[in-house]
Amino acid sequence: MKCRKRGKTVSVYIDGELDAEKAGEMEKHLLQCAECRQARNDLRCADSLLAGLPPEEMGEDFVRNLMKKAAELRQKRSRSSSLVHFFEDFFDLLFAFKKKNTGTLDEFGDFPPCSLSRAYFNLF
Amino acid sequence: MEKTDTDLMQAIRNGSRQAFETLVRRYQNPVFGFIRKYMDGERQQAEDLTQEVFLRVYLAAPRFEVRPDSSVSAWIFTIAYNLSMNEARRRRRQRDFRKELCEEHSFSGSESPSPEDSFHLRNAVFSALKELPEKQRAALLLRVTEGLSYTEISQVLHISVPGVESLIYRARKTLREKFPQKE
Repeated sequence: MKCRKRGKTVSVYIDGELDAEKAGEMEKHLLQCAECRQARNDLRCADSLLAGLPPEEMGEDFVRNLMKKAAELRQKRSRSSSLVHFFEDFFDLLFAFKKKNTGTLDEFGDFPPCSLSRAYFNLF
Repeated sequence: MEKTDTDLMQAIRNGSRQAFETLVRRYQNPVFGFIRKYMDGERQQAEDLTQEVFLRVYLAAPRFEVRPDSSVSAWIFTIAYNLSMNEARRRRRQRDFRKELCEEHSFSGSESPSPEDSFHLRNAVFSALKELPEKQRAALLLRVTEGLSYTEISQVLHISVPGVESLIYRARKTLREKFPQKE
């Protein structure tokens, strides 16, 4: 173990992210090297500062309010998707005469199934 | 048996509100804690951001690819990190603007903490955290307070695992140096 690299490796060791072989080497090294032990204690000390911060907890009604908002958002989005359908169908209808094999639009009964009427009923 | 995060995501994708509620209950405090510490902000602001995180999770759930290697926690914290970072930048811009305005009009700043507070350890730790570079702060909090693995943190911050190692080490070192009296 090279001591000039100790800091970062000790930090990774503290987090249990060294592989088994390197962790074993580090454990042996720590028994022999006072400098690295000090480095480990220093880095752990930084963690203990964070651990000393009070736990942060959400209020009781957070989940209830969130579920309500999520439901509203879902409803809003499903409504907007109806609007998207409406405009898609509307523009299809508007430019239908440019498409081949669309048929004439002289009569309202000729509307293709995915068109204004469907969009209208989806929307309202 | 408790459902895994991946099971819950699958259920949410299929429209289960109950699965979403379970996921929220599982992650609400870790996400809130991370945002609060990362931003060092007011409680209400952190709550609003936490709510925003979960609404985004809810909306984006259908696009979440359920694979054995996909980490739901890393994904949720990515959203939390991005939102917090944006909000922190917006606040900094506002603060800079107010500072310029105060200097221009010779007002005194009203946001500086009182001297008594500065001696309080909690505030001192928050201040020290705030002074860390953004990514160091996020990496340290994700590891130490939220327990994410280095791989998950690398996904959240979009950096390599050795990059995460360096960030966490430097953050710990800086934080330690700011509290030399603490043993």
